[in-house]
Amino acid sequence: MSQRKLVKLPDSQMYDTECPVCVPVNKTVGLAPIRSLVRCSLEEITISSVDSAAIMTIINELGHNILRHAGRGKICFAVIGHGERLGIRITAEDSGSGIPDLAMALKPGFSRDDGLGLGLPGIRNMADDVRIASLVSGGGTFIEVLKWLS
Amino acid sequence: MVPFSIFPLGDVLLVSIQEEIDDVSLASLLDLLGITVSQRRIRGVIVDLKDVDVVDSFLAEHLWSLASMLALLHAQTVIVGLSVPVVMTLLDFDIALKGVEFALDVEQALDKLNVSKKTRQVT
Ligand SMILES: Nc1ncnc2c1ncn2[C@@H]1O[C@H](COP(=O)(O)OP(=O)(O)O)[C@@H](O)[C@H]1O
Ligand SMILES: [Mg+2]
Repeated sequence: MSQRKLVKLPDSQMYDTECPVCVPVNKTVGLAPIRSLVRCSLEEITISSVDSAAIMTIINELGHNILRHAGRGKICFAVIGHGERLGIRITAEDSGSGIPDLAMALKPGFSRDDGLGLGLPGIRNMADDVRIASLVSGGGTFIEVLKWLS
Repeated sequence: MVPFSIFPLGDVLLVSIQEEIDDVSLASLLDLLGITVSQRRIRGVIVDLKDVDVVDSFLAEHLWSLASMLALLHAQTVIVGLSVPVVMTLLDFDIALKGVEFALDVEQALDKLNVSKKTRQVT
């Protein structure tokens, strides 16, 4: 039913993907633009309400982390496919301070400021695959999240 | 327009939060509730989340702060209107929200807070 065009990109052997759409996240625009983009994209595919709540929550967590820990950055979103399976790929990118201790950051309850520290662990529970690349000395943070739809 | 509304029901407040509430509005809601609860001797605050499609750890954190603050002012917080998908994502977060009560809907929350039928009809 999906009219979207999924193509095999040279850098991904894992799945077919449409071109990702990227939206800036900063204190001026907040999370509204990325949220409405993702909501529109999800309306075009067949998806359960639980999956779509999980995806919107992942977007919020990544977005809040950019705003709170890096100030600004961008989030990209794409529908992906593998055989019959449909999924989504989200990347969040910023050039903030980076995450000094990744293992620590992924522990439930760890927060550099006085947050709940449940964002990254929550994303891990909701997604199928999470990769984090972070360079401490101002190299920023890159987070890739894959989630297959049930 | 502010993304929340506060509705008094006797000595209980009914608070509805709209979908895309931002951090500034959340902070001012917390301030406002703190002041109102202490000045008007409010004993319960019902927070209705039926219009909210995402309860992320950020919103959860504010709800938890709200409940802790209101507990110090001798008021109880009851959260209502969580949809099934939202409950499922809360489970993924392992958010216990200690000190927060839950009810299925406003009616059940009013029962929990022992609000008389008479008070309910006034509004
Ligand atoms: N984009 C980012 N840039 C820098 N640090 C980050 C970023 N995202 C997460 N972190 C670090 O990882 C920690 C854990 O993140 P998270 O689980 O979302 O908890 P919280 O945001 O409540 O602190 C944060 O406290 C922060 O130190
Ligand atoms: Mg976070």
